[in-house]
Amino acid sequence: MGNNTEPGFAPRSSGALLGLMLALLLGACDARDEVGGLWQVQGPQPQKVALEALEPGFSGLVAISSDQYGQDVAGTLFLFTDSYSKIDAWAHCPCAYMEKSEFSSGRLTFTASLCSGTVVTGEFELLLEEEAEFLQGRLVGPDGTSSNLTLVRTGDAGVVRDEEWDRGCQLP
Amino acid sequence: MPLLVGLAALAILMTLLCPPSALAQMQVRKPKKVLVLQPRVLPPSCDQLFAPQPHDVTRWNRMHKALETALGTYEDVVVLSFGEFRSNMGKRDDYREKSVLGREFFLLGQEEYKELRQAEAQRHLQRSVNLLDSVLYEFVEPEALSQILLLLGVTQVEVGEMGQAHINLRRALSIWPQTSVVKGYYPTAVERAISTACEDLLHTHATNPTVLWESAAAIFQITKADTLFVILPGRNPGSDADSVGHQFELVAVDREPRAITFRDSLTLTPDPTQDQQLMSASASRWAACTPFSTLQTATTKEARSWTLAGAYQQMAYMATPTRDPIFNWGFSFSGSHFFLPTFGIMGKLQFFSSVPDRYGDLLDEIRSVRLVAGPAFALSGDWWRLFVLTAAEAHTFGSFRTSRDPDCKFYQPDSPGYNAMCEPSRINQFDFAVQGGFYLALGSQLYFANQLFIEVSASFSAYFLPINRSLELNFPVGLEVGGGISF
Repeated sequence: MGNNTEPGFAPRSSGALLGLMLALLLGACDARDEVGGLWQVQGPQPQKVALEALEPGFSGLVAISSDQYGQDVAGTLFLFTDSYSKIDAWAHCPCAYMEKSEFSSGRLTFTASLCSGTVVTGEFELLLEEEAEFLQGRLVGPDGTSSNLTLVRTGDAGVVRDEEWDRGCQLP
Repeated sequence: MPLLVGLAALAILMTLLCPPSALAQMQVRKPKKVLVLQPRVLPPSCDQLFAPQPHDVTRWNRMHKALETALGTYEDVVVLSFGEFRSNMGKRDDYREKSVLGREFFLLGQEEYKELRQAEAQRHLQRSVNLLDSVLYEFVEPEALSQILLLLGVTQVEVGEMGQAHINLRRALSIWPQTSVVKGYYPTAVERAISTACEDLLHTHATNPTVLWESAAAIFQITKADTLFVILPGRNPGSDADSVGHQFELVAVDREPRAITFRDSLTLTPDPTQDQQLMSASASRWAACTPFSTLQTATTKEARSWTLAGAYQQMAYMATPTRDPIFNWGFSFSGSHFFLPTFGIMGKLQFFSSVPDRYGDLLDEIRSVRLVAGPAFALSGDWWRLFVLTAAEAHTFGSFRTSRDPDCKFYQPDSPGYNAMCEPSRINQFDFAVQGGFYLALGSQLYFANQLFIEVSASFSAYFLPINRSLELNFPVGLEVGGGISF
């Protein structure tokens, strides 16, 4: 859940009112969704990653689809694997919902409850290199072990809507 | 507040740059009603009293007609025809009654005079004159009144009232200059008194049109004329050849103030055909100087009294169920009617759609319709109008939902993610609602191309109806930019 501000609108200064009037003239403000979009491990082909923090031996495709509302973020951590035998559930539970997601000062944090019950914490930095945006960080397991992960933006929030990455975890 | 201060500063700047010009007013002159009295041509000498000579006044009657024609050429002058004036006087109900009674008293007085009962004759003749004067009998039957005045004057001489006799004899001769008396018919003292009155008249009438002062008040009251014209021919010059160089005067008397306001000395020419030109020139001199009252017509209300306008509008609600103000865009259609340059009524019909707020708390687009109507107060110049609209407002809102839970915003409705992450209690449902309240706008219209204008205005509203309203949308602040037409 995002960190919500106080209910209602209470301009604290004339500067805020002036900004409002300017906004009236220019139209409604619409903050850019900085982390909203589709993020995937990218190479010539989508690459499998090993994430020890998730489960030792896991190797699969990882993607994040998200959208941002102020500082609040909502999204899904997709984990695709077609070969993992330890927990059959992986075959049937290929994603986890991001909870307590927040984006502030270029940093995205969230927790996710995996289908095995493991709760991982995501800590990522938003980086811009040349014309590509990256989420570079790690997933931290309950025992403190972590797995580094770098995702590149492959689509914006519109792609998430169009390709229906906003339906959550679907059972096969 | 900064926007209102800015608009006020703009209004002050416009007032400084644009000198306060008079409101758009058309000055219309009130038409002036004039009456030209029939000229009374005096005899060349008092010898004609007892030895009448031909008294040709044809040229003066033509001069009278020429003056009426000349005055009628002016757009703001309405000429009351003297002929119509006489005719209308004779048709009045009180004229018939009083003229009959007046003549009855005259006949009675005449009989009493013949019976040497001068005192009774004087009393009844005076009553006759009073009655006939009240219906301006001297202009309808001047010769008849002259005879009555003559007999009254004679009677007064015989009873010793020389002063009154002189006045009435003089008046009798001025009303009907052709009056003649049979030599030896009256006593010598009477004939002497008549001659004295005649001499007095010939010497003073040219410069002192007493006929005006004695009858002017009644003429003004009955005819509602603004100006009386009198041609003062003086003594009849006789033939056209004898009239060369004859001096006469044209005099005008106004009702307000009761005074001679125009006096023109003219000279007869040997050619009677030049009389029209002579009168036209004199009328022109009068028209150039005479003051006209002005009518401030309702042209002010004709200019820009109606307006129709359309505008693009941006609006934001200060009190909302979301964390940020909810912005709306829409179109406004307005009309106004100004009864006075400073006061009128204005109405607006506006349609709005909301735009997503920064936090996405507004799950659905809000569509609303607003109706505003109320009095407007304005200041106007040649090319601008500033107005303040204080009105009542009714605003209808379509249903919508809000939520501060990002999971309720991200996942598609009825998707596994939505069902798993979004609790229904975190969504606020607002149904269709109507709110009412007070509306205030400050605006300006800048005119160009005569009737077209550009309009800019800022508005603020406050809702207080219904009393127990549950919708948290309130205090919208708006800005309109558009244009329209006035007529």
